Amino acid sequence: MFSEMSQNGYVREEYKRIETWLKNKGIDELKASSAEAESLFRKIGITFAVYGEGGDPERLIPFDVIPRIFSKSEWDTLEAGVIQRARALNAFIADVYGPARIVKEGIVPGEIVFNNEAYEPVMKDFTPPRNVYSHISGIDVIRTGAEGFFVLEDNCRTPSGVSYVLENRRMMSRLFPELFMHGDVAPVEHYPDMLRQTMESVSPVAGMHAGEVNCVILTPGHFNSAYYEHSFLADEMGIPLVEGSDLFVEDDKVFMRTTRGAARVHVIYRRIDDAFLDPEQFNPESMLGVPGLVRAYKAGGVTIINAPGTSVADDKAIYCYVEDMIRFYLTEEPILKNVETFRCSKPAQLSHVLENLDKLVVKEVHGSGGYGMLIGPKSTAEEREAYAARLKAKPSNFIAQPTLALSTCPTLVEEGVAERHVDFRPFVLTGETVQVTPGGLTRVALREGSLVVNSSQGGGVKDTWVLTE
Amino acid sequence: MLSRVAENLFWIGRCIERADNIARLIDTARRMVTLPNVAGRAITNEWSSILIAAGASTTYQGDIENVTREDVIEHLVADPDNPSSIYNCFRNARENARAIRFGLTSEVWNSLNTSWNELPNQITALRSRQAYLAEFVDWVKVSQAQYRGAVEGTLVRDDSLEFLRMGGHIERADATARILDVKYHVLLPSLGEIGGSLDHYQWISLLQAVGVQRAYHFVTRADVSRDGVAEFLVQNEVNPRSMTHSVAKLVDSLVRLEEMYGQPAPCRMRAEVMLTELRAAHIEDILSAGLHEYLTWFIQSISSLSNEIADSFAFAPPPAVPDPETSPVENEQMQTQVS
Repeated sequence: MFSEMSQNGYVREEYKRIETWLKNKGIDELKASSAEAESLFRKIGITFAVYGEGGDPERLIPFDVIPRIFSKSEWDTLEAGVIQRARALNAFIADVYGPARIVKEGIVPGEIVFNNEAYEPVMKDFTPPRNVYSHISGIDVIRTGAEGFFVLEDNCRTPSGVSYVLENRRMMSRLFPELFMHGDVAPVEHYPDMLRQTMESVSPVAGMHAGEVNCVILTPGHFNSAYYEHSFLADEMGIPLVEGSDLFVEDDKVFMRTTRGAARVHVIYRRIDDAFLDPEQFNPESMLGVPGLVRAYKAGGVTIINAPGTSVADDKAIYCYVEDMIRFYLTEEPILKNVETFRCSKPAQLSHVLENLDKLVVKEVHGSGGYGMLIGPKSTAEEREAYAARLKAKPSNFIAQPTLALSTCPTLVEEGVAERHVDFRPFVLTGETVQVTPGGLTRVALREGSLVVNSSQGGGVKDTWVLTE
Repeated sequence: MLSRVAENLFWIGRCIERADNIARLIDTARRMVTLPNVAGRAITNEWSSILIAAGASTTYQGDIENVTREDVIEHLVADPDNPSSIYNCFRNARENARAIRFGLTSEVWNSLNTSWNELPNQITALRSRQAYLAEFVDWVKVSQAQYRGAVEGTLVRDDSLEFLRMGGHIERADATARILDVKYHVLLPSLGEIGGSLDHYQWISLLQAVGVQRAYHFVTRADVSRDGVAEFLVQNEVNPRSMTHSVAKLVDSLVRLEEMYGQPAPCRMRAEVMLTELRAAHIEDILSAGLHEYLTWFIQSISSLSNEIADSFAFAPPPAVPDPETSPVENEQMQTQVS
């Protein structure tokens, strides 16, 4: 098991200040600060709803006060790796809605692309501004050793969590200013500026000055679990937060209803799913979307980010081919590797998976948020039996991966400071340029031994530092 | 500004002002029931008068004539089925604020959120102890004052402030007219009683209810009289709760919005006409033609004006097929005829 802070009793250089700090503070003071953080977060109203039995619609994501740290050289690798990945994924999406070379050359099987529910025929032969589809990509990275970084999952639709990156940092610098005295923690505050620049750079109208491009965030409304993040980002960028009913389409252009009359909208960062985006095009029952939006999009009247149909690239069946994509489109070797993945659609691999259910993690191909998965080593015989039945019924619906020894990071728990498993989600922005904020969201599984870090499954978050030297 | 946001702000302003005014109406009844009844006459039911004046004659399902104190308090304070109950006013104000979380400062949000969180305990206390009523009314007033302080002290001076204010002005203009009209419902006095002591105390109660009893004496330097109170609540622009004052403030907001936007607001015309009429009227004429009729006209005009504001700034029509998960916060309007 790899600990982010120390190996073989030696505390890694970048964590030395944390070691000293933990000693000086003591558990009681840390707990007091932790309670203060919670009450501040509650006051601000940073919530993430948990649906299902006993779910709290105004639940807080637990915040851990001990940061996770990357050295400069670790970050340089990670940064280059996730940028490479985002470039390849965008190239892939452009390809499958265009010439589909990667399918024709037999690298990715056509059926998992074109028969994929996430494949949107409406996007065929349409080129969005700058040929970018996934403007905001969350690449989930795990670590199993000093050099062992792996990509666990790509999120190309509407990855959430970036508001915590900023709020966690603000909380840390408020509670523990002494930790930032060295001045070598890379700031993350400029993320909203980067996001706005990214949005402005993909305006559908050529030759506009940045300040003339009207950008909005489209939210399903304040009942949505991530509503806080929607309103936070809109506020930080200084752009309107709109709901579907605030927008209308006329002459293939999009307008919002304001107290001064109709105002043109150029770029929409939508935080609603494809199916609800446009009742004319997709789900006719949707009350959240804007009738005619996709028509306006295809006519070049508005840019939708991320593009409809983007999630064809973050399917877990497609995931297996991302390394091939990097070689194919970029003629580069992948900087970050995939986790070994068994495709249950292949009979040989399926039987391997069925024989080793107690050792593997099995996931639904279209699932997200940690729902509907089986963690073999933690499961009971009955659970495995039930899952095996589902697997056999529709093998192509599942993939399996070895149970990985996720790295751990010291975390404040009831008994004191203890090692807990973590993962990491940096946010890649693609517009005129491809860039990453130095940092990202570290999620932590708060239960001892647990590997599930999803916030919807009770995981917590940490501030993540990238050292500048 | 998005029209939806402006509408949310407008309704926050209305809901908070409405909660305050409903509390004041209840307080009026609380004061009036302690006054002696006229010998030999059936006891007038102040509580049913309050219910009618609050516009709750359509929402209250029981027998209005024989309603009890507890029934009225329950319906006006805690009833979730009464869109104008204090419970719903606080709830809607808070939900409207939540929907536009960053359109407000954290202090404004905190004031609304805190009131909403405290309300259940207040209602429990109110149900368990008759004498708690006065304290409850004070609590509503304090909540409202905290909200107002947060708005005045922290909100950016842009159009959002004007929409909040306009909601408050519309609501207060309507409420003052309704409180004044209570006098009509409480007693249709026989000639002998007009100017008598009971009549006199009732006018005092009205001044107390809107919180301007001392202001009345300070400003008018006169004894409490029918003509004096009517003038003070309808026309006197020094009185912050007078109908004319509220309409004048509304016109101010519309003028400021026009300046900010550089384009006319169509509803300004109606507001200005209304203000001119209010200022030009003679209180003697109003009283001789019938105060109740005048107030009925006023309440209807305010309602039309509110609709014109909605049209002018493109407040959304309700969705064709409301979806409980996604439809905007319910903004049921309370506009009942007083006749």
